[in-house]
Amino acid sequence: MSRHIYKSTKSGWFFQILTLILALAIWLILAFRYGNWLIRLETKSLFLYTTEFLTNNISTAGGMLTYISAFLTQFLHLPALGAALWVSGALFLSYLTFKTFRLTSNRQIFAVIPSALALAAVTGLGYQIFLIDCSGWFFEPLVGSIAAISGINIFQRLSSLKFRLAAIIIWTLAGFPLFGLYALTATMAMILLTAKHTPTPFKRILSAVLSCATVAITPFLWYNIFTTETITGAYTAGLPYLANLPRATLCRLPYFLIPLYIMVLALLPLQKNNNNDGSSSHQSIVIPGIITVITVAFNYICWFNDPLYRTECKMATAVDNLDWQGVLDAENDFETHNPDRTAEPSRPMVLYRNLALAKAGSEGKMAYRFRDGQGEQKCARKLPLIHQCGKELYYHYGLSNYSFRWSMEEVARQGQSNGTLKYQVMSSIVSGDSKRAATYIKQLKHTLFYRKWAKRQELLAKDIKKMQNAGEYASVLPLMCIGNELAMDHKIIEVFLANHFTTRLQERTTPEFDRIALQFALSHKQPALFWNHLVKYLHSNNVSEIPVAYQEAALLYGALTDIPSNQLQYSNEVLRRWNEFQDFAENHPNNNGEDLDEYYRCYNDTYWYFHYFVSGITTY
Amino acid sequence: MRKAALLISLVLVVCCGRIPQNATFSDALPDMAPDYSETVIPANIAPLCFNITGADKYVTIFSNGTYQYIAKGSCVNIPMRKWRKLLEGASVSVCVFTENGGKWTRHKEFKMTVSDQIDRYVSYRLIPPSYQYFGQMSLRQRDLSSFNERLIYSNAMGQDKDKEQCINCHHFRNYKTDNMQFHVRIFNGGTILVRDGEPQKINLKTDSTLSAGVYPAWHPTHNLIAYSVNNTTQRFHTADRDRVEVLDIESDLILYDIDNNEVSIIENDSDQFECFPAWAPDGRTLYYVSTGLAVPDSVDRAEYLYANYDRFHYNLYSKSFDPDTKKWGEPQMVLDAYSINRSITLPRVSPDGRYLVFTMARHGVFHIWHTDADLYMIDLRAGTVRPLREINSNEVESYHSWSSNGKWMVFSSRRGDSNHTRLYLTHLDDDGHFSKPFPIPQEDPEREAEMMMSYNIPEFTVEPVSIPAHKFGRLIRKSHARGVTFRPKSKD
Repeated sequence: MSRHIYKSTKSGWFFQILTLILALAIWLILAFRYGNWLIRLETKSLFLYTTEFLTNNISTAGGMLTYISAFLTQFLHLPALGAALWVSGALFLSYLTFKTFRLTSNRQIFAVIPSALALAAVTGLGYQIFLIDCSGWFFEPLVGSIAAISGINIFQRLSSLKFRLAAIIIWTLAGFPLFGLYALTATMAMILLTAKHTPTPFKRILSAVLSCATVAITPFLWYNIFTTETITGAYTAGLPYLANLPRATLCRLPYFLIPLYIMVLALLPLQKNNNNDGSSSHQSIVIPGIITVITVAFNYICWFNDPLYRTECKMATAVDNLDWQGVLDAENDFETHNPDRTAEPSRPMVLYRNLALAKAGSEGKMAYRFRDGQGEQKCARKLPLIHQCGKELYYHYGLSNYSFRWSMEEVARQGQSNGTLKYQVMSSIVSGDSKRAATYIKQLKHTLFYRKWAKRQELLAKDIKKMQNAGEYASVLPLMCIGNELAMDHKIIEVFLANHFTTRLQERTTPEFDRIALQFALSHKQPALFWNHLVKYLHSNNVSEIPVAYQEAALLYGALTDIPSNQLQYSNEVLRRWNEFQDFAENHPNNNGEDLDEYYRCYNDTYWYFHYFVSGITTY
Repeated sequence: MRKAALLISLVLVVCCGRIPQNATFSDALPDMAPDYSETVIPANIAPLCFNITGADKYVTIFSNGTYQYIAKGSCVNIPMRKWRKLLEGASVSVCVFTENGGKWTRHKEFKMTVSDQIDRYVSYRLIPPSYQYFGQMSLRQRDLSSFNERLIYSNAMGQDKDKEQCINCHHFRNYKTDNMQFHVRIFNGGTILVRDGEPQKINLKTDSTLSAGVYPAWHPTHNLIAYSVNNTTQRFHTADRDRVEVLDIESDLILYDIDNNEVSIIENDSDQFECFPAWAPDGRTLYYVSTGLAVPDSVDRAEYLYANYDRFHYNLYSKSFDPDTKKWGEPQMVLDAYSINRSITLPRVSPDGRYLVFTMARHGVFHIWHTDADLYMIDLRAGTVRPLREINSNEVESYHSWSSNGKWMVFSSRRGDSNHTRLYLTHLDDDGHFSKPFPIPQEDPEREAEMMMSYNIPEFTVEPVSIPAHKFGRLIRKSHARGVTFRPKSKD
């Protein structure tokens, strides 16, 4: 006997250490590898320290779950702290599961599974965050599971059948409005535990029928009394409504497995039982070991691991922080890790990078040093770019009305968030509507991490001079130099921006506007458009040396059209490479196979390569 | 005797230290929101709660001459029973004391004149002010004599979260709710028509009409509803303060005969854009707005119209109607807005038939998004028109409705934060002048001010909607909507 206890204790220590190592690993991965993703999640969620926010939340089934989760989600603003909170919660859930279901130490791996499923439920999100209400989503499976298992824990302490039945009914009626489906999950587990421990078959059946009826009726009652959702919505309260993106089934799977697993725990004989604790040392290590491997593998499969997505998140965070160099660094990182020509940047990356180049004033020097492309996002292009980066790009390109519009659309689709509030404030202030801005500033003042930012905006809204010099406005105002146009973007932001900037030749514009217009004109690959915009650019921008990309374009379009380009000043290096390129083209007449590889190797950083070989890119 | 009693109570109160003594007088009103000073208020309105700011302590004294109530604190919330007692007087005077740094100030006293009763219920749509996506929107009904708000229907009840559903244009017949309607668009669309208390879903679109019914006007005496049918689109301004332009590419007027389940044409001139029907109270005249813009055959209709969006100037027309024979007269222009480069929408005739209030802005048909939109009124008896300066603001004023006794009007305005519409009440006196408007009372005005939703289409009713929201939900979830037949114009 003592030998067995020793063995199980030894394996128990092994799994405790393993759990801690896994927890540490998850914290490191979340906080550092996926830190920008956590920040993105936080900008798409909201927690306000107001009674209205509380009452709005708790007026829906499972509202307390959302409220608590949204409270915790705000700490993702500091990814290391947010991730630590999540991991601590996961460890607590494991401990609670272990205690509640009285697992033996060599079966404690079973206690880790709810946390692992909660992790799989949130790390599989991917592009879903642009489609669903994110307030609290990251913590919901964890908080919901903790609530459910806490309920079961208290229930386990009751011995009388009468008390148990009363507890089931009270828990369900009170728990469902607070924790939604997770409360019902606990109820089901309570029913199973009661049935398991009830001696007579009649009482067993009676208690099961009563309890099941409570579970079935409670959402129905809620639905009929509070009348705010569909009946399906009432029965799935507390679960996110996932869009039908690729992998949606995999994303949904953990949400189904969590309640199922809790019920299995209640049903299976995993509890402390001295007679059953005589498993061999072989069993005490091997079976939990296999389960550990399966759990880790399941989480690995569920985790949305896409370098493009991670880079997009990093760039988006940098854009929000006006850290243009950060955007370019993210692109550089991607290029470094994906030197292969086939691993292309995604369209959001290209758009963010072009914006950053324009804001940093280096679009003419560096635009073609980065690759263009249409790297496949793992959402099968069901997500228009406008939903991913519409409000941000429109704002920074000086289209404040459109930024405000898409912020409002995002609010209608996904609910109010820190991110939408920020862009609503900025687009209102830059448009001169301080009254409108005040509404959103007031909201942000109720947050923890944006309070200071909101107070600053309040001052800027009152002081136009200060506003004009502030970083978030100084680079936007010069782009708002042109007259009004009544237009429609049809959700295709890239085309709309290109047209917006390249169809204003006759208007009085600023040097900043002309720089960006020329950048967009180059992307059209139309010589006439290029020449017109180059002339305007040279006229308004006092450049001592024409940037490399424009020299390259001028040489190319000078050769392709009858427009003499020899009045422009070219650097010796550009001229040398141009001559080389012409010779190279004569010797490599094919635009495929090895020739293409050679072109890429030698000229992928030039406008000539972009003109001839980057084609067929579609935007969405 | 009464005065003596009041004096004694006042002396007692002062002696007990509830009213600050040695206060200095100030000619300024306190810094309060909402501002209810010098308003005319209904005799059955809910307590007019407000917040005062700018001081450390506050005491507010309400008095109607015979009864007094004293409130302390910045959030002035009067208990219902005490408020009812105050409303028994001809007016309620309000005196606010504020304390700053230990010194009390007595602010200029203001008065709220108690006047006619108002219809007890106002229905509206509550929506996030978006353009293309709908989010959670709901039709709600507020009891103006209390703070109770009841859900009529929410679009979250008839759809899953990934499906879009718009609900709009709720409308009641003669201020009663047993005959009412609203539309559901896109997912499981149709018109929900409640007839004698029984809801049904109908599809008003026929092959011979542009669309299903849009803006409704229920005939006051017969089972007929006039609708506009519209092909509506929108585009967005890149730099204008008005962010969006909503235009009808085509629009006509139709008449739905409920008893015969038939739709017929009222007006469908292809060069005219008719919209916003409104019956005169006798049901023998239909008012509507229309503009003419001939589109050359060679051009894209939508492109052409948007290129000329600022040339859309809707005039006000009327058309006589015999409800028994269903015969229409010829259109008569009532007001030429085109000639003054203005555009009229939303004509609404007062229940006594004397006044017609409409919304007017520089151009266009969707004035809720036009900052310069203001309310105007025609005295149909005197034949005069005037802007309602006493109730207009620098922001949008748009949808408006008369109460059943014609003494009150509710209208929507963006004057609060320039983005979210709120509802305001105003009283019409015997000389045809409106009183200073005030927002519909809220138990927590600050919370209301921070709410990120817009109120749309306020409509008075004298009774609550009795149909449970779920009954509408079940009906809407069914994809089937009963079709209607089209009755062509008779040749005579």
